[in-house]
Amino acid sequence: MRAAARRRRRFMLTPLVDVIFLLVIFFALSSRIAPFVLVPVSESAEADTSEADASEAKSPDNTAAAPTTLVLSRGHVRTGGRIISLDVLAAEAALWPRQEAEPVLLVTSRSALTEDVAQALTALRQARIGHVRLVARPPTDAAGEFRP
Amino acid sequence: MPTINVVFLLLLFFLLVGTLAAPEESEIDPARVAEAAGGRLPRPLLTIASDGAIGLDGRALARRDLAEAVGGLRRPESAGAPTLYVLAARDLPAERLVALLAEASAAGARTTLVAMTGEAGRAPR
Repeated sequence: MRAAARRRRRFMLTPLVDVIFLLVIFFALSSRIAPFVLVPVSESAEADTSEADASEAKSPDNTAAAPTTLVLSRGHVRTGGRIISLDVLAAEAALWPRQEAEPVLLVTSRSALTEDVAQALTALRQARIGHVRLVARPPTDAAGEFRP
Repeated sequence: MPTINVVFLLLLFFLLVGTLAAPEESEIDPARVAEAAGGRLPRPLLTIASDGAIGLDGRALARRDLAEAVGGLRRPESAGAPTLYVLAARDLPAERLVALLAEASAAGARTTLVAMTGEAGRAPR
């Protein structure tokens, strides 16, 4: 009699179904709860001026010219006639001499996508270039070249 | 039954830890960047779809109402500028993104782009 009761207890499906439902709920939710990366783009208009003042107070230790204008296209940036792939931009930018007072202008060309913007901003942040200003390409540019 | 207690605790845990996204937020495929970080979907969240349609926290927003909506984010008790998080589709032309970011910035918000960690060339999920 007792042995029969024990055998019957072995086949309880309810907890198993509960756990399976939980796993289903968990995967359904977590498949979209992917790790998000936050890439700061800009300060607000009023906060921007105060940051510029603070960075101007620091004296740059290296006065050699660093690229201050990067033209962003699909998968690469262009600066001073050089084309740098976005994959190696972080390593390249880390070698540039620091010019804290000068903001790096990131000019988006027509072929650039949001993904390129995010990758370029991430690469520049990894290279500890803090002051980046994102601007769209001037519309009066017929030759495809950016002229400041 | 103790099993059901544990199951309910687990359910509560996942509901609290997870973040539910609005349908249009789930549809947007954000840019991939090679940076390891993990975070939940932040708020206030401005969504920009590939066709340029925008929404704020799950509600569709007309382009001309953007400045007003961003102005409404500012709370009188906090002195600093509010941060607007922007979830843009990865294939959105950058010119449209920059124009919208500039508009939000002019309305007095700091802007932060929301991306996902991963490889650039990978096909969207």
